[in-house]
Amino acid sequence: MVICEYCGTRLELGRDEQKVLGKGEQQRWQMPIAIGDSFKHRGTRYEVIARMVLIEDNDPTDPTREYLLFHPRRGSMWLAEYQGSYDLASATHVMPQDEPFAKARGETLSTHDGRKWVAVENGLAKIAYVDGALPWIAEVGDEVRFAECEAADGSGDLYEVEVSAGGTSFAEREYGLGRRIPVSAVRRALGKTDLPEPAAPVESVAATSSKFRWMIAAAVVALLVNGLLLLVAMAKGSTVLEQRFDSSELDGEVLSKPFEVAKPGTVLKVVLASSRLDNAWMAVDLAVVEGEDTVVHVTDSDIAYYHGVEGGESWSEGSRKTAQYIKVADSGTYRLLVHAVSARGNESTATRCEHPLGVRVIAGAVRPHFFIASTVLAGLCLLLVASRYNKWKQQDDED
Amino acid sequence: MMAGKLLLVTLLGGGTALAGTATLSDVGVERANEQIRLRQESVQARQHGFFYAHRSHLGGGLRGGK
Repeated sequence: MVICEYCGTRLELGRDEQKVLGKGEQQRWQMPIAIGDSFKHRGTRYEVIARMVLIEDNDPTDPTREYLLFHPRRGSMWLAEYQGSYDLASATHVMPQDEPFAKARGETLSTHDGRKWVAVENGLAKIAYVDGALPWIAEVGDEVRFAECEAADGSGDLYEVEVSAGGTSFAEREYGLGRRIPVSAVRRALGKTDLPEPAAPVESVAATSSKFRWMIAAAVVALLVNGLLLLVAMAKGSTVLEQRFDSSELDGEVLSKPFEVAKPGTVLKVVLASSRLDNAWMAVDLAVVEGEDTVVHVTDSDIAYYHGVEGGESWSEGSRKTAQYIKVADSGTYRLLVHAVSARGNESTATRCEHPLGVRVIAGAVRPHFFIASTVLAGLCLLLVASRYNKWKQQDDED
Repeated sequence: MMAGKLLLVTLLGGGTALAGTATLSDVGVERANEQIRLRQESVQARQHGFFYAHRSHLGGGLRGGK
């Protein structure tokens, strides 16, 4: 088919006689490359014999210009320009192993030549302008479904699949293999020095996808490492004392059973639990006693647990359990001196203890709070990167 | 994207290193380094028990209503 670049007359050349398919006004597009221009590629002269403008979403401000480069013996090539960036492609018989139109941006596609590709974009383009001689009948308004992929190896090679829109799954598909070429090379090939520079550098989808995957892998590794360290930290130590005190004992001051600390500088995790605390609070005084009567540390701890129903919704706050980490300087025999007062939640002070208390001492414990924080941080990083990756995958490359 | 990678590595690596260092250094752990003779304290200072001076807790989380 030939379309006159001046009057838009469409002539079908498929039969003995030329047949006028139609004559119509076409919107004039700015085409920096003319029919008949020469394009020198690897020492061979190709001629521009047809031009097309394709638009997506009926947006004429963001067109793709395609030029058919003809050589009588070497076959044809397509030179495509989008926002000042060019790629050069020719037909290939290499078939994809998967469905290219089902691939979201960043997903991997394999072809039967063993190569891996990263999906860049797939969509629907409409012919907005066409002129010159084409090997098929093309009209303004024809739609083409396309899928574009970029080599995963970073070589810059492109793999493209096109099919007429509205066709069945048996519709003819065309496969193209190409590569991006810099505007300077296009200028040299055409002998045109006035081709404009690209509006912006072309984003390498393969490189961006690879970076996102690397970042996700780093966050997963950090999450696993920190999670493992957290588990190790929480499991450290062995129980050296477990004792339950009645409320009557806690009213006064009570000494626990003795327990041994084997190494100097041991961290003791003192767990205080009052399982019967119910909308109540308990204030515990605690002293670490070394030997018979040397107090080496005095501390206190509050336990409070409140719950209820408000506006049809259950709520709770606080906990029936708390823990303190105390580092003792010397090895030896230790005891805890314990005293507590407790009361209902609507009372602010107390002089007596109304609840029992369980005390557990773990020697050689490690305070795990920092690993909790680092695990949460790694988890948040993973969520953030995965969310940005998904958002990027769903974006069109024009966004 | 490069800056994002660098920031992520700094956050993750720095966070893990900081957590490890703080944990190994027992940051946040109370040090037991006092030397109070329980019996001496009992005789000289207190009338009502060792913790008399320390009884300062206020509870009553439900006082303001919920």
